[in-house]
Amino acid sequence: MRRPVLLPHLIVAALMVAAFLATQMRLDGDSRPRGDLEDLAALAARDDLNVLFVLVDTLRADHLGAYGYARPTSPRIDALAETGIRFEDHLAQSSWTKTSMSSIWTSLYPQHVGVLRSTDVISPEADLPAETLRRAGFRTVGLWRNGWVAPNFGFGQGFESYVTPRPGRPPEGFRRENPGFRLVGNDFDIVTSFDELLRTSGDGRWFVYAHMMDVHQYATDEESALFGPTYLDAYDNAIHFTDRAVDALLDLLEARDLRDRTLVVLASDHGEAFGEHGFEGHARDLHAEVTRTPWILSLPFRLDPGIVIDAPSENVDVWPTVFDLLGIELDAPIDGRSLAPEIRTALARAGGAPEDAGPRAPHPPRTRIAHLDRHWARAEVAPLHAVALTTDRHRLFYYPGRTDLYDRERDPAERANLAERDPETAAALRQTVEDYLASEPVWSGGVPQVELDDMQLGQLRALGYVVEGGR
Amino acid sequence: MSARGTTILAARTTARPRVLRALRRAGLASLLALPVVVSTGCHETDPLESIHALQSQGEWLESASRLQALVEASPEDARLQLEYGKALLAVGEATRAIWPLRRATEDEGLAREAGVLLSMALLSSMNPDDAIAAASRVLELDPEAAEALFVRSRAYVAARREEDALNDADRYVELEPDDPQGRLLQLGILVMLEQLGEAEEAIAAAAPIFEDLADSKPEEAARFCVLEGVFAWEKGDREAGEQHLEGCLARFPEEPIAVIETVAAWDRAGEAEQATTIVRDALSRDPDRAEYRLMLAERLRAIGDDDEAEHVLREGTQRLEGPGPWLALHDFYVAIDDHAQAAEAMREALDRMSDPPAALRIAYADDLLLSGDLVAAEREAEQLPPPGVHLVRGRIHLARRDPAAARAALEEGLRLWPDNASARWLAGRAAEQMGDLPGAIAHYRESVRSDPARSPAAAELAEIYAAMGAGRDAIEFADRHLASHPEDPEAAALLLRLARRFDRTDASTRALAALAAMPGRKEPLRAEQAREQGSALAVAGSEDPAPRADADPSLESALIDAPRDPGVLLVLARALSAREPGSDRVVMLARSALMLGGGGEAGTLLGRTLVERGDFTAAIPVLQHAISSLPAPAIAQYWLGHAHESLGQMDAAREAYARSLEHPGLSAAERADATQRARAPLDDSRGRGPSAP
Repeated sequence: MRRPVLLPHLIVAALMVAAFLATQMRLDGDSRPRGDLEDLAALAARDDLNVLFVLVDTLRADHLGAYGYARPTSPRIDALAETGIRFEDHLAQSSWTKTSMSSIWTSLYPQHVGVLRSTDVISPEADLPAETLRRAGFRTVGLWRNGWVAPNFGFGQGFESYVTPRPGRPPEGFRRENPGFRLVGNDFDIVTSFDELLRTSGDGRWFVYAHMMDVHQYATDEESALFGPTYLDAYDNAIHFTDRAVDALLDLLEARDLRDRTLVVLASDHGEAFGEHGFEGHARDLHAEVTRTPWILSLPFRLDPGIVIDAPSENVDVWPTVFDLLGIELDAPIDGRSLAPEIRTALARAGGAPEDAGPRAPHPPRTRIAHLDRHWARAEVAPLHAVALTTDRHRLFYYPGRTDLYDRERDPAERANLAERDPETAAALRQTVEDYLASEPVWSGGVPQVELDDMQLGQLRALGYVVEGGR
Repeated sequence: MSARGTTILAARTTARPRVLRALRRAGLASLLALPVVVSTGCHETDPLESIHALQSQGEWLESASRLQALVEASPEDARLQLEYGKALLAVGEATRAIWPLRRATEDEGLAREAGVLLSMALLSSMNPDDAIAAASRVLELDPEAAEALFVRSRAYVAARREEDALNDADRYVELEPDDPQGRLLQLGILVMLEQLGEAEEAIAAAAPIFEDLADSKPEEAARFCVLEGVFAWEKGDREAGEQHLEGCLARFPEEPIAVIETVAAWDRAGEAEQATTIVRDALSRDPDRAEYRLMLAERLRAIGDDDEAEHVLREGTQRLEGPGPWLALHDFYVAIDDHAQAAEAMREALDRMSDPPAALRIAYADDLLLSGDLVAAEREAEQLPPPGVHLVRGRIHLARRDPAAARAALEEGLRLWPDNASARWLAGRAAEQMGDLPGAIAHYRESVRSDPARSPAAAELAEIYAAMGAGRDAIEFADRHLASHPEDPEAAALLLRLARRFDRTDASTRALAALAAMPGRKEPLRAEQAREQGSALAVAGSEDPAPRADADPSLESALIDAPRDPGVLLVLARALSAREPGSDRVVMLARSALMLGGGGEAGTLLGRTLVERGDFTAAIPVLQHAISSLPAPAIAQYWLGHAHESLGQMDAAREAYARSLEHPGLSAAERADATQRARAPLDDSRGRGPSAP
């Protein structure tokens, strides 16, 4: 009779467990399991998912490592992209927060939302994502610090709580751009609020919108002051600082074992100029430096490696895509479209199942729109529209009486105006813009107006905006 | 769909803004401070009992910490959530309190109490709409809930819905007629609505309530007393207002609000002397009250009596403990530009602090530096943590005429403190003194962007752009400098000078209007004229200095003194070029000279240096521009020839060499070389490097 041998079985079992854990755990604090196309498809059926929407104000894509920047500004955001979905060719709908955010939330182009000026309000007819998610049983919370997304502009619709966190103690050596116009607090105040929310929420599902402002404020501290003395350096320092705040949000999810129950969406409303086309800051024109923004999706499971979607995308696509992934149907009129099919295709390829993905075809041609009323701060004068129309090949800038045309592939920095050399393309695209500008907001009740009070003007001026009006 | 956010707020008249402002100042502003009333009602569980015991001892922070752990363990316990929310509110964490309080409102038995607190937390978090909603839910449960009416009224005020606010305030006063806070709230809203008749009635009705507080809460009673006086005064009955305020002073001589508001009323009436007398009397009654002392010193400074102001502040340092009086004295000396005395005062203040903040230590080092004691300043700087050490060090290097070291130190400091407008300005000066005009412009622009009021960077830019002949930019920055220094006649004089130079009558008008708003301060205009004459002499004296390679130290020194003189820049660049052909510094100096109007000479040197560096493509347009601006561009043509030749553009090269021979200016060796290259068949197949003779 053979004597029972326990040890080999134990070793084998231990090795099996270790192998299993190796596939399920990451070493650097990301406890999400590895996932694939099947997990993606299963998202729509899950009833335990939360949504964290991190909006980093004033974040240009080309200053993130994930988008090829040489400086190590964003290791944590890069890690999100490396294990998630990054949209390579992504554009914002404006270079001014209010217009851009109203497009993100409604999935409509600015002309169709009608929020182009300081006094415009998102129509109460709009069915914003927070309303949709609240109906779906999510606790909805907005944590914001930018006065242009204040509730009296209509941005609080659907949020159970829509608050500006009170400022806490700033980090050691905390600095920000402009001592004369200070927006109080910093993004770690949002982290603190998020922590409290998680602590007290119990098991219910939630949707949190965290609008981070420290890149806008060029805020940094000693730990993140890495790159030098110029304002471009300070901007990069601020990205690093905000990257740490984003990491702190993710750490809170980890600490509560919520990472594998949370879909994280990271996007921005606009970028920032450093004199590339004569301006510094934003909300003045629509060139690439102020409209090329990041969009990253981090799923409740890790993709290894992450995938890159190179089909053209824009901020109006963010919520159609998220809702598509979550299995929530949208019946409102939208200009955006879901990129979920592209994600599925890319994921199928990454998983070595090309038969599921179908033939690799070029993405369909697409025309994208960014829009800025350059008189946004002057309610008493006529609009001064600037519109950027982006096709696969060209980028056209429409101004009253002027057209600039650039070749996207050969001239991504938008330096050589081709409008005179290629008048036919310029005329055709200009006509498209004129048709767009002739269209109307989709709301039957028009665009509500609000008067800015002194407190609000003060808050907006604290962001460095020169806004007329007040009472 | 949400129905909120669509209110169109009608524009109101500002017929009586002074009344509103004065009353707000007099005490209604206190309404904005949310009184957080936290009860310590007992809940019969052991942990809560011990927590309540802590709270009754004022240990709210510790109680919040313990409650946090309990909530963490039992997030479904609504009572714990309520207690936790209360504790967070009590320690000023209003936003954090929202979440537990909202959870607590979901419990039917706690909804009323939690709802009121939630409304307060939301209001403190700048969310009046949600605060209104939370209070309204409480009022649906209990229409007589007075606290909910109070907080909702305040939320309506914050939401600019004054009519709704008044309805709630009226109802609250009905329910709680003896609560002074309710009376003040009602009164404040009536004034906002400019219902002054009703406000007067409200004051009369509230008077007995505040009268009763004279002993128990004299500050509140004094505030209301002042409010009555200011109301009468601003309504037009100055005599009654004056008498009433004097009465308040007599009844509440110990209450600063009575002094401060009476002084403000006299100031508004244009009787500053009477106001000063009141402050002086108040100080003599209560010489240990620092705020009276500061008020008096400020007033004395304003009327030019610096000696008396100094005496008042110095007396404060003898009577009062702590660093405060010394800091006040320090600020006074800084204001009168006596940095040696300022340094002494700051030293005294620092000696009275166990762990003085870095900002004060930087200020001390700065005072030492500005008083000329560089050694002591350096000693202090070395004790400072970054970025202070770098910034002070940079300033010391600048004072020691070492702009390169100054710039390096300042830029290191700016990495950690990018919004320091003064340091940016100093870095700009250091860059200028190194001959790096683009670097200087970048720093100056960023200083203006940081905080134009804290440095003269906009004025520097205006001068630089003027020197470059860029009138539009020069006027723009002179305008910005004046806008950020509206009290500075020098700023107006600068704009006026540039407006005349660039023939901009619109800018002249703005400058003259600004000067006109500064009565009795026209001297700078004359000083500006004198400066213009002086500048002209200085420029005349610096014309055409000879390039001498052995004169670098004196030329570097001349550059520190005159960084915007293209002649100095050019001479230094030539001297360096002879020793370090093609160096970065020569490019920087020549480019700066070119930007400042150095013309074809600067362009020739820059173009030549670019050729020497192998940057032929960049050199060609620079040299072509120089050629177009020089009557005898032999040297520029010669180097243009080299540039074309190096790029394999042989026809253009031959032509340039030939043209270089048409003018005087080449050395004998250059002439021979140009002659040979103009005639000899050049190798057309490829470019070749320049070969300077």
